[in-house]
Amino acid sequence: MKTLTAKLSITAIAAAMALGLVGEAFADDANPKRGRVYFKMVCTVCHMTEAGQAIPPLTRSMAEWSAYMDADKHAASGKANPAVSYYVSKEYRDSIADTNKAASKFSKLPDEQLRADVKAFLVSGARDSDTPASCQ
Amino acid sequence: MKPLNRNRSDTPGISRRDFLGACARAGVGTTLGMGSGRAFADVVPHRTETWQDGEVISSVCGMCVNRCGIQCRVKNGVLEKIEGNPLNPNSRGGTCAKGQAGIMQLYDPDRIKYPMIRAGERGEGKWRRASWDEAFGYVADKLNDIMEEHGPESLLWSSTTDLTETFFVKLGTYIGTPNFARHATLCLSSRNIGYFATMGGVPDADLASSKYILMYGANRLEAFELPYNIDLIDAIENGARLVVVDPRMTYTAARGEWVPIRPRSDLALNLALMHVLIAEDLYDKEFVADRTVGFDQLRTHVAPCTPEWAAQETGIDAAKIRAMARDMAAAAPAVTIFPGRRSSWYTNDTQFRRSAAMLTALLGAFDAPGATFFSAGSPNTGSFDWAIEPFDTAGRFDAFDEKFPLANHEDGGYVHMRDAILNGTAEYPVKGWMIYHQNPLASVMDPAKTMKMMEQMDFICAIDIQPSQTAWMADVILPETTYLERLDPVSAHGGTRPFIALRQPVVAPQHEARPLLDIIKGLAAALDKRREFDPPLSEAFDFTMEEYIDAQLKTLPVDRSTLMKTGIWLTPQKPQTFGRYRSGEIPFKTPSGKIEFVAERFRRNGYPELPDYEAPREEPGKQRLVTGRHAWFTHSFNQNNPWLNELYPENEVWIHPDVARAKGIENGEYVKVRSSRDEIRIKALVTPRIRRDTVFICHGFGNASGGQTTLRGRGGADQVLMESAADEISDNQAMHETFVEVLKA
Repeated sequence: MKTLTAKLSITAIAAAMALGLVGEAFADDANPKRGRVYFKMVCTVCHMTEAGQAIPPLTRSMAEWSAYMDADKHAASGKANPAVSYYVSKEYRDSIADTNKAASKFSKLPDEQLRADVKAFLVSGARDSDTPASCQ
Repeated sequence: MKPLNRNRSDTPGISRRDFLGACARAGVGTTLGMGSGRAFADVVPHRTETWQDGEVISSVCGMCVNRCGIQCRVKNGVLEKIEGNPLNPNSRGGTCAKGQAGIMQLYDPDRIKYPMIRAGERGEGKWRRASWDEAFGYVADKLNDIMEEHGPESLLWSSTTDLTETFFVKLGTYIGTPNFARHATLCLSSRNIGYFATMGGVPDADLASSKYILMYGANRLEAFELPYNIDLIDAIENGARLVVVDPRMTYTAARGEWVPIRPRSDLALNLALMHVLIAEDLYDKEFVADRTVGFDQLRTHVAPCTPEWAAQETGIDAAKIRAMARDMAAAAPAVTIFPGRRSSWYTNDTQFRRSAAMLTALLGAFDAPGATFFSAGSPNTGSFDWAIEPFDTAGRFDAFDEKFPLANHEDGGYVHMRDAILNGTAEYPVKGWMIYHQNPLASVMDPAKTMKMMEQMDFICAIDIQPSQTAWMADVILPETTYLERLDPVSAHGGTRPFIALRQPVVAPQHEARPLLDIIKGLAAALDKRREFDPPLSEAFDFTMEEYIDAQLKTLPVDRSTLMKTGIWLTPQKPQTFGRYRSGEIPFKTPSGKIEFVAERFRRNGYPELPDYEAPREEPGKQRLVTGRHAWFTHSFNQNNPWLNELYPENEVWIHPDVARAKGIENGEYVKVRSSRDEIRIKALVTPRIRRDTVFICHGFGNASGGQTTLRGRGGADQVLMESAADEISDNQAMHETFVEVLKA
């Protein structure tokens, strides 16, 4: 039986193909639904607290999200660590695991896997995707 | 008027005579078009100082989806009166007849009073009373049996929009089913997809400042949304032109100019209006050049769509179409092309809604006073720290995401879903159905098909207040508290003055009804005893409503105790500002960042990238059936309310006098209405307020359950006549695609 993850991936990859992003958009086993959980429960919570507003996937195009994740530069936030990869890293997850269920749940996930998951979620919900996504 | 035929001694406070008198006066305001924006306030006293005694509790109405502010007078634990909360910037102290009659939603003798387990055949009406513990255990046993045999994905989870719905959806998510069927495809999903594809969102409307308002079928003065109604009336009084395109003259159309369009030709009208705007050089060139893409393709696309062509399709004179386009151009940008709400009309609804968004863009009627605009949104409430959801669940049984790639996959679609089960194309069996406050046998067309779907279910459980048609066919009914007996999550509202409001109990729960969160907790605990879940369901729901609300409020400068006193918290007043989208400061949430006349998203999924028009089919000798609302009722939710039912006991079929005469039908006589699906008996309303090729039936009557003693036997059910049809892009059910014959009974 196909899983929802597989279907989301197919949809996202199909959309990414349309923009020539396939191959760089996702790792082979990227799980956008796991990426959604992490983005909602870690990224969005921090964005709401620190910036006062969410940054939903539909605010960027697929190409923009792909480029953003590849560039690995967290937008100007005044954070000590300016790399996006830091915020999906085990080091960061461990630092907030006591207070964040998603960070705790995914504590053993390899950094690259989680980064690919988040990227897959962002690209599949981008404003030029089939189903632009909010942070809900 | 029918006398009340049962003991109403438990109906306290306001007398029936007072209520009926007030509503009759409100009815004059409504049915004749509400003389002013203060009509409600004139009829319904809303100043708290007029109340002589009793405790006054502020809360949020739940008689429809709009969540108006209310103040409830309670004396000795009994709710005596509901009035509007003047602090609410949307409802502004008003409350409609439905809102006032909320008292009888609470004290309705037909309410489900305790858990009930079916003791006879489905639908037979034989029940046995159960304790909550027994009911939780019974439901958990049945669900677990299905999960053991078929997996958690074999459970279907249906619900309707409400402040508490999230708890019901979360339970299904934690259990591990991907199969949800929510409200969107019964209502507005095609509108959402059409507008999102074109302008990246569904805009709000600055009706109060508008100079020209175009509504397609939107019957705002009956399908209540108080702020829109008040603003609409104010706009008309300020000289705005209201043009209502509709096959029947609704009360809204009666307040403006009725354009009786041939059903299913609205898209042709829009294509022709755009043709005129372009051919006569009337469009907003600066806006189109700066803020849109695809204009050249649009110009080519609408070039053949002359007013003369559209006149043949729509039945509207070519000269009238030209005049409409010219008048709108003259009034632009203060023109409201009303986006609509319910868009469950035709199989081309998504493309039609897209054309409305495109017309808006051509006129430059966006992000300006009197136009449509994107509101600032509701206050940012905090997030509750939910347990991690399972994320490796099965795909949907109906492959909805593959069939409808642009639709909201998590909401599902009723028509496609039902067909997948009945046609044998489901990827796996669906054997259990949990239903929260949803009534598919009334709200989904062709309920005979839904009944067949139910027949193949091993178990059905309904959580509801009323013994609806669907609940009556369930195996277990769990009674929920009404909105007047429970504390709900914070209600956040956008618009020109964003605010939050709190729904709180004004009286203790009646009978043995429980709030949804308590029901979910009971089910969670019972399921945990029978099956292992990750996370355990009891852990996922190990919180109180107060804790949930506190989490929502942590981002806002107001606490729960303050909110419980005032019922409402307003963001600091800021004047509505326009122009940030027009100037390009804020990009549209589309691929190009601009309004898109050509939708790449549509093209790559095999849909026309510009709206194509297909002429409506006709069936000689028959009329097209259209449906809609009456002001006193919300969907099929409150026709059984004794006070509201007394105001409007049964519905009618509207039929044009020429058609009636040809058939020998007199006004007021009972007739038969027959379709390919069924036949109903209903009273005829012979009126020139409808086209000859159309009949109208108000939704929500007929087909009552055995438990709805006030409604039972009254009126005719529109949905039983409807053939299954849905919009091809959204799966939004298409309720105006059926032809019927009206015959002497």
